[in-house]
Amino acid sequence: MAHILIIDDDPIVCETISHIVKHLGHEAITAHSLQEGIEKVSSEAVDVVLLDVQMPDGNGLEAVPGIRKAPSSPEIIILTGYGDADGAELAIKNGAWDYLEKPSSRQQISLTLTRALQYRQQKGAIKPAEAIKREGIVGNSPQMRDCLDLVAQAAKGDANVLITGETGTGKELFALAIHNNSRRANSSFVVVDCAALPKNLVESVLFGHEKGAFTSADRAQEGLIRQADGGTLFLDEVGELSPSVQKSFLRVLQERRFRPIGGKEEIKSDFRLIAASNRDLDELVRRQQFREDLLFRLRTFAIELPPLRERLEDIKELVRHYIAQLAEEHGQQAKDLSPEFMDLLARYPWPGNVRELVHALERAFAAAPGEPTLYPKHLPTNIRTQLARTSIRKKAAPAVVPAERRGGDPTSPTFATLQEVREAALVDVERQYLKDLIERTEGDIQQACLTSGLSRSRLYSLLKKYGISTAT
Amino acid sequence: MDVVFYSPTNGSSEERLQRVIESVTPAWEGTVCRTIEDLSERLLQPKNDLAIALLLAEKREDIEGLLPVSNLFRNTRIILIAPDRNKETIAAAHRLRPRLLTYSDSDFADVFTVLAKIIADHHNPNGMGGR
Repeated sequence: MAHILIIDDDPIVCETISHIVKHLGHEAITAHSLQEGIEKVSSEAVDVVLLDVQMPDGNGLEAVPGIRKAPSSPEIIILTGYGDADGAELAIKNGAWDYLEKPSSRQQISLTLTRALQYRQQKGAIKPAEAIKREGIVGNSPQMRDCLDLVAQAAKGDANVLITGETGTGKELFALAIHNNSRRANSSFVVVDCAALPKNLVESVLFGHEKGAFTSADRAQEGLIRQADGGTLFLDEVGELSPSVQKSFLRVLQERRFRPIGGKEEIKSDFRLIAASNRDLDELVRRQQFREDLLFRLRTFAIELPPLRERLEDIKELVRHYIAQLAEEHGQQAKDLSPEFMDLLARYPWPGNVRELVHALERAFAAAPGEPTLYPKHLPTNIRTQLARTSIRKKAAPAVVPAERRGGDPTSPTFATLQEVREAALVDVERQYLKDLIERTEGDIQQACLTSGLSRSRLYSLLKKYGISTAT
Repeated sequence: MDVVFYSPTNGSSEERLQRVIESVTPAWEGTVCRTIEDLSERLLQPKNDLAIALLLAEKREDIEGLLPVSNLFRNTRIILIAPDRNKETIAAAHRLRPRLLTYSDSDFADVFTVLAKIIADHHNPNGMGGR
């Protein structure tokens, strides 16, 4: 018997869904506010949460990350308004298992709930993320746990995997983790860096060549596809492959056989493919720069890695891990971390993700030889100055730029830049507009979208940015 | 961009590779790391940005000797020159996850073009500097 929590302010909805849940043989728990729901999911073991978006004390979508962090890590099904495609998309992006449009039929609710429970059961049967070899992947945020669950699932099979994520998020480490947890772990993990290899070299590096195949081919050369036989071929930055190589490689993927350049016979290679990219491959397909059929084959199993700024709770663990590693490498005692040092790291947006963080820690470590504690002054100057600038800009750019700052003595150090004035004015206008919009539409999001011309996801994002509630 | 060159034995391949590095990065300081200790010390120095390590192995044991310090190659792109095409040598080479694996009997034209591309992309804001 599973435990299902229904969070909806409408007692009739709660009662109806409770009835369906009990009919399926599970226990139903209800909560009529977000606060009550969060308290219940924090104190009770819950398998699935059915969560309404429009709650009197806030937006249900904003509570998704908090609910996912609950001890029982429940699956979440969002209850959205009828025909609200943007809300549904946003729900999935926020980590919900699925969504249900209100009103839904008894059959739809039963089916979605049953599928979520089946998924949960299967997930429980999979090797837990902690049990896999992590290969230096650090972090236990819900986003990381989800990604590690996917690594464990991918490692069990031989399907092609596509790993996407911004630069520095650790795509290669994840690919290596899949390989090292798979049945191919004792064979080679072969890297093909499509961004580093010039166009004229890729084909020969991948497929190999026979002696005399081209001017400088003074001896036969085995390609990386052949060397990956029995193991894993990792195509890093796959979006950089030229159209001709994409075409050739598609055939290799389909048949797992290829012909070296200048070769007469085809060679078989039993490799598992993992590809990675920091580019939007769907966009490249739309621009006809990447083959749709190849992308379809690469994406049999997809893992999207979150940027570091979306899992800031992992920073502490990452910092401790790398500082301990640096101390060991340098033959020194691990250094203490001052609260100010940690605070600064938590406030920086890390556009270069974990790679940038590691760089910063290396530099901080080197800047403090013999010192037992790391302070902000040990961090690279560019990080400290950027944070200082952001902090000063926030203080210097009030919501409404005072009249005296729009003119006056231009040599005064407090005279704002045009960019600052523009930004401050925009913030002020946007905030006031949204307040008026919510008041005028009485918090009806659908009406607010129609009136403003904003998509639902954009509207929610702006409301969140300015801390405006839909409850009028 | 830092270019680190590891060559445990002074030989003709080393001279040819040095010429390749110098032709791509005229500002290269010319230091050759002869031992794993030299190399480790060099890799432990904080990097200004991305680093490239050219590793010239004269025998398979040279590659195997690098494996215990492979952690130090984080944020470093490896170009590995293997001594031969034996299966064991190649298997050991792939454990270092090189961006280019080539062989000491090559003319190093491949090293030149890969090195030049990595450096050019790194300096070009629209290039594929990231991983």
